[in-house]
Amino acid sequence: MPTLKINGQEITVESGLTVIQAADRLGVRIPRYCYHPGLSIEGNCRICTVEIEKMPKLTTACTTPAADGMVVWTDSPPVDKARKGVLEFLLLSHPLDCPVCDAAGECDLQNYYMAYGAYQSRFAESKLKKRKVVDIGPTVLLDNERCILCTRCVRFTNEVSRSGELGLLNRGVETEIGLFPGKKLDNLYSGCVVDICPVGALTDKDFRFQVRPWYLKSTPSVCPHCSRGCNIVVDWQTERPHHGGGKRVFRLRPRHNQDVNRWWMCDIGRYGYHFVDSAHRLREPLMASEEEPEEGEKAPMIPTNWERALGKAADLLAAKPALVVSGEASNEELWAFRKLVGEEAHALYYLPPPEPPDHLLFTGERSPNRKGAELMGYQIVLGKGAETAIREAAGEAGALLVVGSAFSDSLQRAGSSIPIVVISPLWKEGRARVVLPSAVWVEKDGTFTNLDGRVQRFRKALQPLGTARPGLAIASSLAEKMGRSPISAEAGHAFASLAAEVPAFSGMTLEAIGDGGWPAKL
Amino acid sequence: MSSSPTPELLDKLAERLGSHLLRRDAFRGEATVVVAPQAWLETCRFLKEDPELAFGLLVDLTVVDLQALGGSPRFELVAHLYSIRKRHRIRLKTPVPEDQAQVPSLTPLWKNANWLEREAWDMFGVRFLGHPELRRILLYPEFEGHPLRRDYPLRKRQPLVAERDVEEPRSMVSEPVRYPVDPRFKTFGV
Amino acid sequence: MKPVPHEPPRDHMFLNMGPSHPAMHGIIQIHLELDGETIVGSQVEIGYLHRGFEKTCENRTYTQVIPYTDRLNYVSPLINEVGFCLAVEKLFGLNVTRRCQYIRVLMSEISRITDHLTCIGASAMELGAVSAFLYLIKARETLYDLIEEVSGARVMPNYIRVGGLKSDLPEGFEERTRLAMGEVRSVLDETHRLLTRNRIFVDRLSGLGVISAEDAVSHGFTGPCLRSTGIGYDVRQAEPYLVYDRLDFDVPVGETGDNYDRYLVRMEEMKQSLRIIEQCLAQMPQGPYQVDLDGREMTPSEVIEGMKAKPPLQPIRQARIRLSPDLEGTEKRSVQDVVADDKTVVFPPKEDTYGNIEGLMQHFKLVMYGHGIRPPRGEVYQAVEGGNGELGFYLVSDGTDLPYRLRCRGPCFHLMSGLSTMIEGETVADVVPTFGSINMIGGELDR
Repeated sequence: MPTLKINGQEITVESGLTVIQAADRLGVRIPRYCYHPGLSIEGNCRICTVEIEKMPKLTTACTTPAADGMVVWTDSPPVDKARKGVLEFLLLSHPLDCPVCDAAGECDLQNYYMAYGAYQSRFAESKLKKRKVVDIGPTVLLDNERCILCTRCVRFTNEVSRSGELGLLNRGVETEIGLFPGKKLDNLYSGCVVDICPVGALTDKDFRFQVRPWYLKSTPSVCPHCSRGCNIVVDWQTERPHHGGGKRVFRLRPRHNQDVNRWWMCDIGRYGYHFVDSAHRLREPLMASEEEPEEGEKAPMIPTNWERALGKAADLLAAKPALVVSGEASNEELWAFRKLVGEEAHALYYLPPPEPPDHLLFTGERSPNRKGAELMGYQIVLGKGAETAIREAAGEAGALLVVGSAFSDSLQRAGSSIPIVVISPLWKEGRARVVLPSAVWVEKDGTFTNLDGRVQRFRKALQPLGTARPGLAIASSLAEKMGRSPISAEAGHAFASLAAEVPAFSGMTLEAIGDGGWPAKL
Repeated sequence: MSSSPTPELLDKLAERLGSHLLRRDAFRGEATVVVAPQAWLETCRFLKEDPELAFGLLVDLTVVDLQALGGSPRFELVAHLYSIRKRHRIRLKTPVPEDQAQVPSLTPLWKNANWLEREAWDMFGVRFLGHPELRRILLYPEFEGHPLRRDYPLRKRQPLVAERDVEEPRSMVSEPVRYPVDPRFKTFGV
Repeated sequence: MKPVPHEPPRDHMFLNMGPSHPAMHGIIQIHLELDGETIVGSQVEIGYLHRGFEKTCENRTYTQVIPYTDRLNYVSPLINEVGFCLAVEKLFGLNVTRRCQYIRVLMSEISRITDHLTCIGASAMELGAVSAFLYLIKARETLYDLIEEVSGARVMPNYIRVGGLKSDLPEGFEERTRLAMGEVRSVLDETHRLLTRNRIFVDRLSGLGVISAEDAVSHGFTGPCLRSTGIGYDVRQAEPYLVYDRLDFDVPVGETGDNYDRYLVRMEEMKQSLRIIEQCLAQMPQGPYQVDLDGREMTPSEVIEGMKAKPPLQPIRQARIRLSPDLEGTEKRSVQDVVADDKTVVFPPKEDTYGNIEGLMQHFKLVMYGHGIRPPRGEVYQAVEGGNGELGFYLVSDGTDLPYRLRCRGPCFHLMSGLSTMIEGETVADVVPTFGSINMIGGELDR
């Protein structure tokens, strides 16, 4: 357990840590390009140079193990001078790409130049030309001129995704990142190399030229695409609708959580946000036409207002309803709809047929809240069994309340013997008497329970599209119309009532869960 | 360069304030004195009337909403005073909590305090006790909220206001006044 | 404004003056209570030009605020810019080059003259003297030409930058300034002959709109309106900023505090401003001078010592550079004498922005939201002498690229609060010259 001093502050760390890691614990930020806490240490960029007393020369903080009695200075004049020199070398052949570079605004070259460089350019020669806009895979483009050869991406494909597509090619000044022969950067985690690239060398095809990053606002959230519940950040903007063709969510990025996803997320989740602004999003309630449809035909759906749609839904649901939930319903919504239909009613949670899990994060279970549904007493149904279970439930009930969009027409046919009320953000077609548009996960507050029983909070970033409302608000209005005990439309209150009733959640509050999550008592 | 009062004068002020002095600091050569709200009016009176301090000019009076800085209490009333005679300047502040946002008015001391306090009320919703007519000054009476508060959204839209009935004009004079008639109009035999 | 309401005496008449009245300059309203033609009560309503200046600026980066300050007092915009930039520089503890300081003073004084010319011209016109108005506005136009030559715009120059200027003065500026000054001088002489002893003009100004020195101070009067009462408070002299302490000028004061005194004070101030401009042209260093943080000149040995010190003293520059022959004004040669040597505050010259990655990145870091120039945490108040009096900026910085609180102390606000005192007891017709002599500027009053 070495004890060392960094900028005059003392810290004791376990042996084996390097100086940069010890400094991170202290909150002393040492600049870095090649060092990444999730990857092996290489020490090639030299920007993390620090001064350690009694050492003859400046050393790199990322490779030097913390030793007992070390006295480290991270911003002394020799260190500043050395960093200036490193930056000058790194920028020698850097192209003048900031105006067309996606990373401008998030680029560590820019940040460290202002913080440590700020020197007058002395460069008078012509810059080295390298390959630009290299298509290295379905999701990522490579620009070799911008690359500073930190090899974070190479180490990522070797160590984390374990697919090993990238390597260093050529020698000397012509060294560049490239694909091994016959390979493409095509794995489930390819998007992560864009996150870890400290400059703009690797850019995301999905995000490329959509919006300048400094217009984006960020909201902490949780990925809804599998039961892992990776912690993410939603980057969005609404003030400039002329950017990105009017979409509101521009990208999802992983958020570090050592207990869940560490620094990574898979491409299914990363690119799975497009439905948020999709044309299939339902913007106003629909009601089936009152006229009797032709034999075998579906009644045409007519847009209506919330007051009428809620009234109709409440009327239909008065007759002993059964409940089928799917998709991204939060814990609060699961609890609220269960309350709405009553404890004795059938409550099913539909899960799409599972896919094979992979070695890192993806669980194959395409639903963020299966565990929450289990804890709330839902019956989990999937695959073929779902149709049977729904038919069975429909046989005993007077109406069917369907919440969520992961629900095919064939499943709805199973319940078509009774009136169906659908609460869903997306709607193409189907058999329903009333369809109420609900908000998607970035448009509401709430929590998901991941497969390990960790309750994780996501926050509202956007207003619901059109007149859509969060599921909790819909449950609250329906409860009022149906004369049931009141349900709070506010996630914090609803979660408090839920925590008071469901033992696995006892003692939790939305505030206390925070951004790190809280394991439920299983 | 602006000049703060000499340290001796600031010490004199601190001595006079006693426990009402909450904080005293200097940044870029400007002296700031934070006093308790209950001593606000008296401190100003002292600063104005003391012959050595002689802060005759109320340069400015405004409020800072500390909400986004996590400050507590929420508001800070800030006055800038200047002494034309002594050529020194001081910044005087007092904390104002949100739930009882009220401080004594400075209208007995300075005439421009009337408008400055109306503006502070208009923009921040801080009330001034003893102000003769605390109503909005830059905005219209039907305006909802106080726009310079940090939680007032930048792009908020205000509701449209229905046409107002014209009030009967009320006299602004408390007793019939006869001003001396301008000699130029003597010929009209007033 | 005596608040006790009661049934008005039968012979009192109520009159609305403004907001749409040609002499109200568009945007204020005065409720008048009249006894015959005499004003016995009045109430001033402002806010018709309120556009949320402070709220807007609190959501803009420091650099983006500068054009908004142009719109405060829009007849002397450069003084507003100087005031704001000085406040930000005070937050940073940054000092600009000596040449830049002289140019700022020069441009401030040109603006002061345009301000006073407009004020006197407009009030003369409202009293019927249209020809005087035309002469004065013509003189103002020659000054606007100078401003346009320097900044590219007549009225909204956006010329001063935090840490410097947009660009140096163009070549031949000095001669053209001398020509323009000659023209302004002759117009001032002409105006004197036309107005100062003009029976109608004097009758309508003297002895009217009187305010006592005590009332003026109590109302927070500053500038020509305060000086007309005999109190010689001028920020340029009382708290010299930039290089005002190196310039020789007089602060004219009046005696009675009436409209005529305000007219005379303004006329004299313009002459003093012309004097200041002349001295600036004579004293302005032709290249950069080495100055320390307090703006004192340094000897070469001090410069060397200063370069060893940490943090290095700013700005220390070595080269002597000729002025730019054209008006592009953004190349290295036209900015390097007039901007501070601090890359975290000052934009790079355009050769660097377009020519090397360092300059490009510096430019990006200064314009991107969430990056920008970032003063340290703290609060400052900086006053400058505007056309109408003390113009102050109170800035609170939380260390980010947006001002946490920006408060503008406009002199007009205080002057207008004293208008009632000045017009009560006079006739309706006297409102026009009194209001004109206050020189109310809506942009600054309502913000």
